[in-house]
Amino acid sequence: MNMDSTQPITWRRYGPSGLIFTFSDHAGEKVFERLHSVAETIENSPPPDLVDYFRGYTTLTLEFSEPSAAHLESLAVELANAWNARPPLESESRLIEIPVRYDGPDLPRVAQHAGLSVKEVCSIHLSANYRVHMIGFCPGFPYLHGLDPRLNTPRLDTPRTLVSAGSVAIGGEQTGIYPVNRPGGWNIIGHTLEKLFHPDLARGGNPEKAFLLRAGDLIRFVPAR
Amino acid sequence: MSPPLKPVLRVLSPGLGLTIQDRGRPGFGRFGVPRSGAMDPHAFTWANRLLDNSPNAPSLELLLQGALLEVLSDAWITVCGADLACSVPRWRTVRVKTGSHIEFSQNKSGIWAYLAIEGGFGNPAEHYFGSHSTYADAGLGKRFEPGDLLHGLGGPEPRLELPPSVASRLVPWDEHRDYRFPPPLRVWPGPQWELFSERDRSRFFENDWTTTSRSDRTGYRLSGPTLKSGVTQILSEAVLPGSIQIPGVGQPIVTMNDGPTVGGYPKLGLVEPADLSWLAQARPGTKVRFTLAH
Repeated sequence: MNMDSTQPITWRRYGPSGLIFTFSDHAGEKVFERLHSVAETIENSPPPDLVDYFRGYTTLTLEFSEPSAAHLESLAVELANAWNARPPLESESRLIEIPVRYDGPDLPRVAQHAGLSVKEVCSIHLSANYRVHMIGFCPGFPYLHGLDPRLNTPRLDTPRTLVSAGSVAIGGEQTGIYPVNRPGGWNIIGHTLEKLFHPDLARGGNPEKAFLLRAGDLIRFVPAR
Repeated sequence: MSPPLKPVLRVLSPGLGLTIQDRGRPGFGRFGVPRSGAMDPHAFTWANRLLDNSPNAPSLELLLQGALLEVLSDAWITVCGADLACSVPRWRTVRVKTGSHIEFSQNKSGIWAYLAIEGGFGNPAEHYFGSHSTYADAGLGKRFEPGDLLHGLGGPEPRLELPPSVASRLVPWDEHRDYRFPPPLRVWPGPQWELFSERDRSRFFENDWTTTSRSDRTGYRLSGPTLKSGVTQILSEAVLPGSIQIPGVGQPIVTMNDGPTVGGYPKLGLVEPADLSWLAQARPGTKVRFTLAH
């Protein structure tokens, strides 16, 4: 077995009833694929007393209703097995197109930082497929991996008090879409009319339906008509 | 068939903030949905308990001062939590009469007050991810405005029946809290505890921290000595309510119920969940101290 696949997972306590498992010291597509399969294991057979779980780039955080030590040993073994089993990412990742109008106020800033024209920035941003590594921060916010490094742009020194829902933005080496109005420090390069979060669909027994995107999806930006 | 909705209060003024809260909606972290729920579960729980409500019955959460409500139907209510100079007494059951007003005119101590009613407040059409808690930023419920009607979830008949010789039911005295003087709050080491020097960890526990006005349902900012973790960003990972995040400027932000579910600041610790309600009620300028939990 190759050493790379048996990198030990580590865990730390996170308060009286939380555990945070770290699977790698760096993020990336390969790490994501394996972490995704571990998350699916949790989803399909949640450990007893699990209240909530959260994905990170290299971590899974589990929150229990009881002090967390009880099942720790067997849980750590189970998660390590899922990590090492390395099943391929479900072959049918959804590919979702997001129509974007590149009219954001920070487009010139991004272009200037990259030493490119605004037009080049748009075409580079349009040309990649992005993987949703996780949903977090606020309801439906996708953390997208795959931004062309030429477009990496530092966050604003002073965050805006309001970034409107639908804003497409770049923060450091990440790009994302604000699903709801939020304060935020990312560079806004455009906007989409797609709704990433539908509160009206959050009332039924099928919470997934309230969200346009989920971890594992591939997305592609296309020019809005 | 569910009983028809009964308006029990009319909002004449929402004051600085008026929402509905229950125990929140844990279980949707992987969708980025914060758990929300009552900022002070201690006062929230007593408000319901006095009325024989379910422990998760939604109640009104009132911020600081200024709310004025008109009673549209006779009811038993309770007001627990912050002292907002309420026109009805706190920490006990009160029978309010149709046409009377309930006023929260002035903030005297604490931040959040809870007004509970028999059966709870709420609207089945505003029940999102299993909870009535308002999270207006994402369109889950709304912040109330003048003229809004507040509905009761209970049936049309009063349920609370006290023996004839008993006028009211009270919260025991030792459960009334003086929010000006929180006890030392227990803190569990956080996921990035090791990133902080022993010196900075000691400084965190040995100094007073002051709550600031840059605080809301998403997070409370504290001011005190500057702490350094050596890193300004970690790879984004879960942030549980009560987390003590240390951003680059070195002043802690304690994540609260409506805070982001994922973040990239190092987390020094996590406030013991049972103690977090004390911090929630600490007005700007309150001194708080922390002690290592074990």
